[in-house]
Amino acid sequence: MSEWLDWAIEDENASSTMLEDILSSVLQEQAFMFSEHFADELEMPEPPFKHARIHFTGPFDGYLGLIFSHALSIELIANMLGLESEDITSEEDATDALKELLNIVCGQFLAAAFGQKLVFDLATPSVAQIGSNEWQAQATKEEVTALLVEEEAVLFELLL
Amino acid sequence: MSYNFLIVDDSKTARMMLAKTLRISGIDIGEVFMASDGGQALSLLKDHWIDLVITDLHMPVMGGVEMLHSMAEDGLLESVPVVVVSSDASQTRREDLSRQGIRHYLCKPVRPEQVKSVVEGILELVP
Repeated sequence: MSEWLDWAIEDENASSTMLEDILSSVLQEQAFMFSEHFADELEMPEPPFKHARIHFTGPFDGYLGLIFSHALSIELIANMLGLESEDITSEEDATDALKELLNIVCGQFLAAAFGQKLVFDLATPSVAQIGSNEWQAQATKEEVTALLVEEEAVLFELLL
Repeated sequence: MSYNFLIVDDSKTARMMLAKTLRISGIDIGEVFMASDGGQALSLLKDHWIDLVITDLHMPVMGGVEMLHSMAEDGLLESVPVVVVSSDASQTRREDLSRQGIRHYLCKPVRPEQVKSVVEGILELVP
């Protein structure tokens, strides 16, 4: 177990790449949204944004975070449910979709990174609305990485 | 012959995604009932004919394991088959649930072919 923990903490790139791969795969499979690695200077999408977080506890603790623009979160739930974006009128539904996405991604990541023998407890995800300043602050954090989803920057963070 | 399903999950997105997955799996579906926790699910089970329950584990009010224990103590509900669907991919957790009598477990995200295979096996639809 400690080897895995050392790997995850010391090689942030490896765990971040693994998380990026899982996020890309889940987005493609569940929402038909295509993504690619993003290494250029970040262009902020149209605000506001939704910052979703899920904490996990177990052999060690941490959290995963995702920041989607509001518009992309509407597209996300519409695609997940096979509806048109215009059909999504409830703010609660868009928030719920992000929570479910995070829940799936976190479960997949923990199993892929640390094996299926370790047991983690996933807390209920939370979502907060943030504006441009908070997005900029998040984008400059060391542990935050960006993925280009449908040509728009999605921020994700992993803290162990 | 069509089959009635009950989907139990506190996430509306998860419930609707599972319903969509069931529909495109090719299984002959009658009605799909939905509940957001174990307590609601037990009420629906008492009022409607349900062929199979698909449930999440972690829910407010009453979780999946507690619901399963209540079903096991009810003579009318003990034989209703249950499939647990969870984002928890831990084999250790799965073995622990198996010891509690949970035989069918699917990890999110659930694919149509997975749900079809498990449901057909439980309902003995494969000739």
